[in-house]
Amino acid sequence: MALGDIGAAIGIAFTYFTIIYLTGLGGLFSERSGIVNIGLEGMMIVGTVTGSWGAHHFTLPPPDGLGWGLPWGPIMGLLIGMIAGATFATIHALATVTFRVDHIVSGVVINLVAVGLARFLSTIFFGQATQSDPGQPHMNPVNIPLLSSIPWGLGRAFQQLSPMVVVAGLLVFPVSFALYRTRWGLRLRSCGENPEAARSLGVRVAPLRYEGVLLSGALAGLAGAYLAVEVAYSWGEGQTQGLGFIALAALILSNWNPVRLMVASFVFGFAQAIPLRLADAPIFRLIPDQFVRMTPYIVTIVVLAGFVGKVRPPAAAGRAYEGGTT
Amino acid sequence: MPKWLRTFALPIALMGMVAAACSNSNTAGNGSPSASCTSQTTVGLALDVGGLGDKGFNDLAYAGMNKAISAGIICQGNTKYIEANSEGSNLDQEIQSLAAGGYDVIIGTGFAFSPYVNQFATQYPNIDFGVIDGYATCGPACGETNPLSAISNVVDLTFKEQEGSFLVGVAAALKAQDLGCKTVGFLGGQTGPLIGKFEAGYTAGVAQIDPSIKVLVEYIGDSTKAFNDPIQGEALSNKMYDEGACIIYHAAGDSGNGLFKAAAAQQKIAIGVDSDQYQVVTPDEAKWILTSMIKRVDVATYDTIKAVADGTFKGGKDEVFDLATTGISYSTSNTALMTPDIINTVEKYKEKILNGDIVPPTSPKGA
Repeated sequence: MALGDIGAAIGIAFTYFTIIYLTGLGGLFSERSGIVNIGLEGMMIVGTVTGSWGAHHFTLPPPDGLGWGLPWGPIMGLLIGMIAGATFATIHALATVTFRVDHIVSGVVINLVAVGLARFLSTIFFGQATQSDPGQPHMNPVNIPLLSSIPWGLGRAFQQLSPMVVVAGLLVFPVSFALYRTRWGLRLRSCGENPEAARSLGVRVAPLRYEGVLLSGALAGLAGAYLAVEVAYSWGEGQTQGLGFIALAALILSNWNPVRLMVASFVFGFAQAIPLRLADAPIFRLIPDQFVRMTPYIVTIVVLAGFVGKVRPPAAAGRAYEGGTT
Repeated sequence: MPKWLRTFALPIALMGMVAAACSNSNTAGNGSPSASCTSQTTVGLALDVGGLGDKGFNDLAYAGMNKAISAGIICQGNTKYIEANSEGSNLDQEIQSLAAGGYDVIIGTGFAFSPYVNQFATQYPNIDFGVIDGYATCGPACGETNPLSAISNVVDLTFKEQEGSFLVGVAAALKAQDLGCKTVGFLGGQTGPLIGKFEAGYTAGVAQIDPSIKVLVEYIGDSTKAFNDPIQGEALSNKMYDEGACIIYHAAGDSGNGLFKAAAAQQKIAIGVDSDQYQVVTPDEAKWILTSMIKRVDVATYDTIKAVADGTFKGGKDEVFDLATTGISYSTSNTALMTPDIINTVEKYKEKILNGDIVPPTSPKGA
């Protein structure tokens, strides 16, 4: 095995990282505001189908002089996926915040509805139920300056990446700032820890929880749109492959912290890459192929079993807040 | 509203929406029904996982049915198709509901329909059944209920994919020689005998031209999900390209989109499957597609419908589509890569298969 294989594995891990991290950040905003969101997978699914539609629909550049040379198809696809994810998340917000439905029940329903809704939308968008046509526009892959020229094949990890990988990586700064350095972030977190106390200090709990859930939907929708627009170049039923649940696992491992979530997402992303790229590596060659293919799941279980006692979820997450709707 | 009702009202309402969204059935075609159409033959098409738009199986079967409509063999109003759910767990219901609907001919698009067709065929002796890639006539030997003698109304429509794969293997080896490379690759979807035919034919075709060319083989997985995972398809393609392969042939359904993406990024060559994939991907990907192994599911569907309409349908057998019946072929649309020299040589081997000098193997070595 050459170092080039490790470089390539890291490159694959970046793709998974982007999906898991964006979705995980979505879960973070929701759960920090006190709403458990296991509907992330469903919100991703809605992002995939609408994102793909956006990329297909806006293939034509805007009128002369307004295009600025940007790839509008994919950009609109990502934006529309985000908006659709947020819109879809409104159902979860309405159910859990306004009607105080059990968060798990509503989340499960979100996941189930998304599958049917995606077929329904696909029939409208593409005239067929389970996929879009191939040949969808996408952004040009980029090589990261300096890092992509690391020798011994390791630079491979930073070549031919979607610009969205960089965007996702940089999101950690605004998210951390918003969560820990702004008044809004403090209030959002207080809603997740002790909504009664927050309320007694004049914080309006319900609107903040709505914002948390809608942001969650927007980020999960963006992750889905990234998958359909920038990774698969088309929409296909079932293409999320349960990554929304992996993102939830990464969120738990990260202790609901955006910086640690980056590490956790990368660990899970790299675990996905091992059977694809490192199955011939000296350590893995000794293990039967079937076991190597299990790596992502084994890593998930081991990591969660090892850490789950040491993490502390937001105290009020999953608990209905009965203090009125203001 | 009592609290328990408030808790469950929304989920229950949404569940209803899911149930409503989960089954699709429709009448085929977009054109207006022809007023002069007088055919009484009714056709039911049961589609497999992947559904319409897969640019493969399901689309081709649907195209075959539409061809029969435009040829006036059947009338549009007398046709119906049903799509599978994403896990393919309702295939038996598809067959059952079409059979209960009393269609004259029912075609299952995919081998997974075989046991159900075998099961229902005895209950509906007046309906003719066809199964693409099927083994419904195999009977108890394949774990099915009814022996061949009991189901004279069933025909399996199978293809000699190994013949077409052999020819694209020949083309791959010739192109590899042009490029001075000694390694090619094969990307399979789900492991098993069906995709094994593609691998075996391809490997044999490559070896026919140059036994010293190494064929790398990667499969994505062992479930039908393997046909819908472009991320893994791309990763495994990149791996084979990095290991020296200059050409990769895929038989991996939608996962093959990952191969085309990897090929464009690495500027290496890919070979498509089922339909002429040069025609359907983006231009920057298409220019790397040497050829495609074409499997005429549309011809099989059309022929079966026509036979039923003409009253010449004969069941209880395996109807084989191969190079000789043009049920299998290869595409030559990418003239930049598929040079006349290569086409000439491939045609020579096609002749040899047609006159029986070469019989491509059906299962990979060591399998």
